[in-house]
Amino acid sequence: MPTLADLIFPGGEPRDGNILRLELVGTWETQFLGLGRLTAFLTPRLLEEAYAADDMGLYVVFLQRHRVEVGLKLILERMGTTAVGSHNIDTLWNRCDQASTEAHLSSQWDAFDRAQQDFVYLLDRVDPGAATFRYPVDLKNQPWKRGQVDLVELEKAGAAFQNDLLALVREAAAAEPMPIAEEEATEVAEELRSLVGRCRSLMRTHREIAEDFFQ
Amino acid sequence: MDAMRALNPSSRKRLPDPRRAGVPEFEALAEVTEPLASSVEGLLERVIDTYEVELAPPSAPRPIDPAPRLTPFDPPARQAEARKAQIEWFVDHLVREVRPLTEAVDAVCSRSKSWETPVARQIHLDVTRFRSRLLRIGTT
Repeated sequence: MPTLADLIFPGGEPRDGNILRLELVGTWETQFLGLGRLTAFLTPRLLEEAYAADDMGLYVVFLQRHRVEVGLKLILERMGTTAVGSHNIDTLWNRCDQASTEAHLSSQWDAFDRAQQDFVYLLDRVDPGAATFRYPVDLKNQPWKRGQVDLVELEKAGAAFQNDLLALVREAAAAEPMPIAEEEATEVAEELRSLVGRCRSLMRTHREIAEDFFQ
Repeated sequence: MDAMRALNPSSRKRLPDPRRAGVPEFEALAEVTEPLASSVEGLLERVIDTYEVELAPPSAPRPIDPAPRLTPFDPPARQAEARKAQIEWFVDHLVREVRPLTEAVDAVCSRSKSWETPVARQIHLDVTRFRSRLLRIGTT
């Protein structure tokens, strides 16, 4: 008879759609994108479908703050620096600034800084230790001063942060060593192009089927 | 009481659920397909630029035939025929897309297994995850 641990954390091949394959999502980029997908998924649904969503929405605010922290750690990874084990946004921001200079991406960082510093530091001010929206009281057992939050505006700003950050890390990708040798370049390029083409063809067919068949 | 009823989420306007618009597995796959294509394309451009690769021009995409139409005033037998034709059209197009896509995914999945740098490793993991979603469609 399977134990509770076997049921909740099963080994072997995923047995059905309930299983999360977490070994495939253990990177800064995936976790960053996952947070963005989750907040985009939750924000409109909580507001439209849930009765008195404040108690659930509280955690969405934390997720938005967490998205910023994970995003900054993604920058550090892509700039070739070890992600620091800190939740402190100010520390992470300064490390990113320094790492961008070392990676010769100062101008790209400056553009990101101009576009996103206000948002990042706003979240840092309201939740400096990543605990304000997770627990009802602080370490001295005092209630937080949390006020009100507009989840839709927060999601808009979070999504803009994500877009700008991904543009920055795409610039950093160019500095990464190539994963293949020159002699396999043509073969690899053909495989990559075939995959891109097939993905786009699927999207096109999907759009046309949705327009033509399901309407 | 009316005020309480107005607050009841079940009586409020619901958002359309994207997973229920068509075939749910297909919808879920489509959501991640373009981001995957973009990141693979980024690496493709780097490979082409770095090693000055010259690829033959790609073949033109196959056109999609229009779906067979249902005509509301047709007799029931003709409507049943048209419905059958629509389902066949849908399955044909799905198979036509998914089979070569699976082959392309398998090739990159296997090729990228040993890639270790962060961006390249990310592509491997994304393609692997995408592959298992494709396999779910294949068994639907």
